[in-house]
Amino acid sequence: MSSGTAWHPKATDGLEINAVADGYVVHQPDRERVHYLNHTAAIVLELCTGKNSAADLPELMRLAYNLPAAPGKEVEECLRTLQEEGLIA
Amino acid sequence: MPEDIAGRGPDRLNHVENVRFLSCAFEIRTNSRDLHERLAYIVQRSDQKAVPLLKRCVITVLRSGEEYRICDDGGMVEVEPSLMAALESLFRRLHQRALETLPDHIRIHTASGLHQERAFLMVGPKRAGKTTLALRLLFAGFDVTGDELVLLRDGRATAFPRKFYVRNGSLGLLPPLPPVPGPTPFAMNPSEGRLIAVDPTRFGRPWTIAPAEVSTIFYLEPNHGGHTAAVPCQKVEMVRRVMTECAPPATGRPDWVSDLCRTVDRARTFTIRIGELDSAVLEVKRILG
Repeated sequence: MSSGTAWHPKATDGLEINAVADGYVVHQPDRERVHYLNHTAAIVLELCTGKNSAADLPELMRLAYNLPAAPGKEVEECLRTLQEEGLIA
Repeated sequence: MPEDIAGRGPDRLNHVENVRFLSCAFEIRTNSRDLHERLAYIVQRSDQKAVPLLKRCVITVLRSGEEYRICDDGGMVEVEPSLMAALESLFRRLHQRALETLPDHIRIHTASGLHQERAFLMVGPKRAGKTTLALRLLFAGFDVTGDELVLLRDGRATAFPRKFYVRNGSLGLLPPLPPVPGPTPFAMNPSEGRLIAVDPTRFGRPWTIAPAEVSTIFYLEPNHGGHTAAVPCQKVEMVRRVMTECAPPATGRPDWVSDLCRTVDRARTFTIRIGELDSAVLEVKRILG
């Protein structure tokens, strides 16, 4: 996985992102794949704008969910999965 | 020799049947009285006035000796070695041609019905109990429109108008079926065994096929022999489940996943663990209101 403060993850081009009540359904037409994201993964993907660094994301998640501590490990794991699935670069 | 009237020649296709499957109307011509009689397995008379008619096809089935030659609009397509094989082949061909006429639609493997002018779907894998529950709902007075396939486009679902095909082994789960004049149409399916064709109009209600917005989606999980329970199902999970039971439009229109997601998101979504069937009917009734 790309890592460090230098990495500014960005959602891959061409994704068709469909919001439903409790998450996202992401269609990759070029790979003919569909991904099912829960709410947390959906927010992480939304934050992958190319402007936020990977290191900023846990704090942004903490603010979004009003958490007592930044979920660093969970966000890192989520970013790894999104990257492995080709949803972010 | 074919069983046609002597003197008219074996090739006279003087047994004719007309049937419509959504936007495609078929005229089936055959020289085989046996095949013509067996067409009751396939032919249905649902009301499809709300669906535009786009195409007419002629299919001929010529019996020659033991063989059945099936020709589709003039070109020979298949030669089948028996009556039952010819019936199966014809069944597949009619459905295929009808589906080709609506290539922009998503095909969902689901039973369906209409309630207060909106559609409800009962999605589930093979042997989840779709047909059995569909028939039980017909007995309970619901307008059940299909037991197998729905076409979806722009959030509107249209049941594919085919008879309900009941496995012999499932008959014991149903009250006695309303009688029909003549023999009950059936076919032998290599994977399913004997399948009995049931026309929903036997239950005394109209069988109307019309596109309708989807109000409710049930996902059926088999719990045969156990209790029935219905619980709300998350939307992402329902999309995932429906995806496993659907085929994309033949045209590959790019927005089909969005279409499906919007449909699921707007609908009420439930999982029904199908055990005891009377309770399953009550749960559907309670949820549909």
